[in-house]
This record gives sequence, C-alpha cells and structure tokens, in this order.
Amino acid sequence: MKFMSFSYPLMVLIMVLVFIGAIRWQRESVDEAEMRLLDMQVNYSVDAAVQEMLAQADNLSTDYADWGNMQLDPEVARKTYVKVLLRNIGWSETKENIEALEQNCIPFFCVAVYDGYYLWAHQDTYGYQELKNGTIVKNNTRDLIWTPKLPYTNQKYEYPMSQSDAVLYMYNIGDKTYATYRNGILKLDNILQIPRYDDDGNVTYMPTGPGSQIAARKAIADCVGTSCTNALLYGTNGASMQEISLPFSKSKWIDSNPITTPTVLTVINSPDGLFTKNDHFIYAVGGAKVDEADFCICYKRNGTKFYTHAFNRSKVVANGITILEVVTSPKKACDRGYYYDLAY
Amino acid sequence: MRQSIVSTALGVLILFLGLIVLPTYYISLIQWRNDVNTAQVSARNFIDIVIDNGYVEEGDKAWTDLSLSLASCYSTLTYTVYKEEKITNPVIEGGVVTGYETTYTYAPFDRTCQFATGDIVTIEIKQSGINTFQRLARGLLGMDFANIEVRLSGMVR
Repeated sequence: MKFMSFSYPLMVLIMVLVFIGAIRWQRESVDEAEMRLLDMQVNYSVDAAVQEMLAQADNLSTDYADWGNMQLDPEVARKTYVKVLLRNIGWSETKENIEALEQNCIPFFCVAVYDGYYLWAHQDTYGYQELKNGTIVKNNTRDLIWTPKLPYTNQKYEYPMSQSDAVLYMYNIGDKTYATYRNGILKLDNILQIPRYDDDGNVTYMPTGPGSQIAARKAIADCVGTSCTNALLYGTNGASMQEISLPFSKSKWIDSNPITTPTVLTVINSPDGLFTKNDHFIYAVGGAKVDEADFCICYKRNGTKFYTHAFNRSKVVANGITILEVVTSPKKACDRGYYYDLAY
Repeated sequence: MRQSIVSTALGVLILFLGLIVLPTYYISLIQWRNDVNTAQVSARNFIDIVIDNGYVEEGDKAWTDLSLSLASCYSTLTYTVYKEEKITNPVIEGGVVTGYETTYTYAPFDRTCQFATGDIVTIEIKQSGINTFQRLARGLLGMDFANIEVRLSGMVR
C-alpha cells in the first residue's frame, strides 16, 4: 500500500513518454512521406530530361552503338528537367518560379556524354564594367552557367616519378580505344579486354592498369563524381557535406550501373518551407534508353501546312484531307515547314 | 483508506488519456501513414502505365487499380488527371527554318485518351474527407490530418 502513492506519477510519466514518442514518430512519418514523393518527382523529371535530350539530338544514327556521331545539347536536358519538375511540385512555369527553383534547389546539373561531360553549376565569371565617368571597375559575378565539354581524364606519374613522367589518360564512354599524352606526344591505344571466365565462372584473365576497361570506368566515375561533389559544395556555400560517388562496375549491393550511356545527374537540395515542410536532399541519375520513332503525317488544310501524330490519321482522312508525306519525328515535320495542328 | 475526490478525478483523467486519447492518436496516425503510402504508390503506378503505353482506355487496369487502391484508404481521396500536349513548331525567318519552338498546352482529357511521345501527364490526389479516428483526434488534440496531397508528372516515352 505504501507504494500506491507512486502509481499516479508513474502513470503520468509513462503517458508523457509515450506521447513524446508518438509526436517524434509523426514527424518522421511526414519527413519520410515527403522524401519519398520528392524522390519520385525528381526521378520522373530526370527521365524526361534524358528522353528529350535524345529526341532532339542531331544525327541520331539508328545504330545506337555509334556514339561518336551523336550530338547532344545539355541545355535541352536541363530545361526539360526544370519544366517537368515545376509541374511535379505544382508551380506554374513562370520566369520567377524557374529562377527560384534553380537558385535555391538545384546546385548543379551534369550531363555525361560519350567523350566528356557538361556541368551546369555556380561559377565565377570575371568581367569589367565602365562607369559613367569612364572608370573601368571589376564586375565579378557568380552565375549558374555551363562549363565547356570536359574530357574524362586521369593523370598518373610513371616511376621514377618526375613531372616529365606525368602521363594523361583520356577515355570515352564505352569506347574500344583510349588516348595517352606523354611528353608532348598524343597516342591512341586499344582498351584491354574485359575479364574472361572459364566454364565454372572463375576468372582466367583480369586486365589491370591504366589501359583497362575497369580503369576507364573508374576514371569516368571519378571525374564526374568529383566535379559534382565540388559543384555541390560550392553551390551550397559549403553547407552541404554530401559526396557524390559513382560506381565503376555493376554494384551488387545497390544494383546500380556505372556510366555507360548518356547520363544526367542532379540533386535537389530543397530548403524547408519552399515546397516541402522539411529540408530534403535527393540525388537523381537518369540514363539513356533506346528511343522509338514518333511518326507524323503532314498535309495541307485551308492552304496551311500542318502536321499531326500518325495515330490521328483516321480522323484526318475522314475529313477528306490528303496526306502529303509521312516523317519520323515532329522535328523533321518542322524542317519541312509544317506547323502543329491543334485541331486533332 | 478513504479515497479522496481529487485522486478519483485524477484517476479518471489518466484513464481517459491512456485509454481513449492516446490510442485514438496512434490509430489515426497509422491510418494517415497507410493512406499516404497508398496514394503515392497508386499515383506512381498510374503514371508508369500511362508513360509506358501512351494510351489509357475506360476499364483499363490503370483506372481500376487506381480506383480500387484509393477506395481502400481510410480517408476519402479524389484524383484529377491532366494532359499537356507537346507542340513543336518551326521558327521561320526569311523562308528558312532557323530553329524550333516547343511549348506545352493543356489538352482535353478523357478516360480513353491517346498520348504522343513528349506529352506530359499529371495526376493529383487530394484528400477530401477524414475518417472517424482522425475526426476524434482533431476534436481531442486539435490535430489536422486532412493534408494528403500527392502530385506526380511524367513524360510519355
């Protein structure tokens, strides 16, 4: 009976602890739900960016192994990414919203292509401005701009080590050759073959060294990962300590691939209150996929040249309109001077 | 031992908090989590089907799965789907095509609809009603669970 006096305070204490635990769980639940949704939104946006970049590429050969002839515009990828992301977060596509999103949430945007990568990030631009009195003053700004195409390189020093023994290795994605620059001489060599296995699955030959495929993938992953990490640190004024690390071979644990096709990498660093309740950091990677032709039919209606998608053919023909030509993409239709027909 | 009125009242209050208020809060939170998960997964599945196939039809798996998933939620959830068509037009200067201009415009959307590559489909799932436990939690603790909003946009492949 003498311990009965403790029962009430004990019960109150237990209920307070349970209540505090529940509130913490509630906050975690909200955070998890927001992060999961934002992750899906960013991934859909990155997929759209890669798809649109490939769709608008020039000289897109039907042989997708022929990477050398593909010319990709990274700005198309970035603009598409921003467009789709705005729709995902429910913002309208105005100049102010685009600027707010880019300045606050996108510290960098990287497009890795066949023979190099482009990085859109905060960079210092040095300029001069002339005042009204004729004085020239410095006008340095820090803008979000594209770098030129940066090659995938790796510098090593051969033994015995000295500056003259520095060798620069340059690689392309998925290529069978690589280049070396040594003592002012540029040379092309073949990439050493990938490992060979016997019938029991044991490795019989594993090439190593700077001229191997593994070394090429490592150099590509390191180049892109390091540049993106630096861009993230610079773009967040040192606030983000995240490191972008890319695999150079198929990762068993997280089932991710190395960079083997045109790829888009970006992060969303959303500050709390902008469009989510809490801070979130989401990293998204999107690779290329084989694109299919988007056939369009071209015709004249009321004297004006129009085009529409091929699946509207029955509606066009039903209106007594004669189809003049069929092309493989809306871009080709535009090249021939046809406008998109809103009637279908 | 004579029971005092104060201790009786305190006991009743503790019992009320422990047996009514806290369980109501927990149950409403669990239901909210379940509804949010279901809404996000349903939205993702719907967008995946539409952007992969480029076509939806009345009675399709996309619509039935979406409707059944949302109907199984504890709260009342409604959805709206938007379609934006990609329009590419040439920029002609002096009779020569010098570039392209791409815009997106909202297009009428039916439950049977064809999408072209590059079109954007958006689904918006919003909560329009709360269930009994959530109503109790709002009355007892002032908590508001009527805030589920899932919005996903994808580009048709």
